[in-house]
Amino acid sequence: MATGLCFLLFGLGTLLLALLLTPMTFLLPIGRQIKSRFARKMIQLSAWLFVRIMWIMGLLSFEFKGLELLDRQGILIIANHPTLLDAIFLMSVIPNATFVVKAAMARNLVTRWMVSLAGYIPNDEGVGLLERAAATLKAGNKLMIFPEGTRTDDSGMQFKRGAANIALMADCLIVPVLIDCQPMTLRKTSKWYQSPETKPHFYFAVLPDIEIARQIDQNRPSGIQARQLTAIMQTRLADELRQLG
Amino acid sequence: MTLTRDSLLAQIKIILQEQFDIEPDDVNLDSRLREDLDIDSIDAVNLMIELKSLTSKKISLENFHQVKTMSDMLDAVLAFLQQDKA
Repeated sequence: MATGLCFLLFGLGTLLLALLLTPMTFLLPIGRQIKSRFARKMIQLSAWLFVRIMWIMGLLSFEFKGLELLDRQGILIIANHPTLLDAIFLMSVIPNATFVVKAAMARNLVTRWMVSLAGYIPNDEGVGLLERAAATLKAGNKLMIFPEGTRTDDSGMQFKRGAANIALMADCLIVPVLIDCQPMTLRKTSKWYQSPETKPHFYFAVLPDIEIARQIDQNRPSGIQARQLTAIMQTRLADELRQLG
Repeated sequence: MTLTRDSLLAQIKIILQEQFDIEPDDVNLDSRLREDLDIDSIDAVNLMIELKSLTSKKISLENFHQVKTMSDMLDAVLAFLQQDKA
């Protein structure tokens, strides 16, 4: 019941935000940069509020560790992707970040204006995605991407190489964020109305940086570098997750 | 220079090993690029660049999403070179 209410609330909230932000795209005589900063701030506030509402309604609890490490320029933030709420939680705590989002969000009638106004990058652009993402990082923005490209399914974490390729192209610092949720809820393979018996606890921990130059030989062909870096990123998160037990 | 199917396969195996660390013994005509060899769209672009230097012709990417197996790739590259000659 409460879960359904939250889905409804999320839908309405998103609609409201879209209605608020859309006129800005056309009407306000301010620069693109300021509009996008403002849109991101609004999205962050809405996500923050939504997370608190779910918490107050007793639907979940959560804890963050090492958040201050995320407020740095030009970093690539990566995370594993166990649940539907991961992006909302991260949007609520990372200031002014460019998110790589599901392509459907860039097409959806309600969310497309937000995505475009906030300068988020849809994940279906292939090689174009890499170039846009790397350019964003080089301009000093922080970029957030889920290297799995979708939520983790039963076969476990399987990183695609896009995130590594972006990092290599931008030659930037990689900051991994571990996400865990116990008991597991809102997974790819579960229905949204299947709530667990006990209240799920979301845990977010920022892990030590991955420095590309210290991890891989940058003289090797880019295809091999991307494979090595992908393996390193995935191992780092998988190991930490295993240690949590 | 005429390129036979066999010699093209041998050349591509060398590229796959150099660029992606794929063992030549793991590659045969039936290998599926995505599922078996783990070649993604970014790799495909790199592969095309390497093929270009091999055939000294720009290989177009347009039909690459139809290429599923090594055998498809050989057909596509040979057809491309043939058509370019005519």
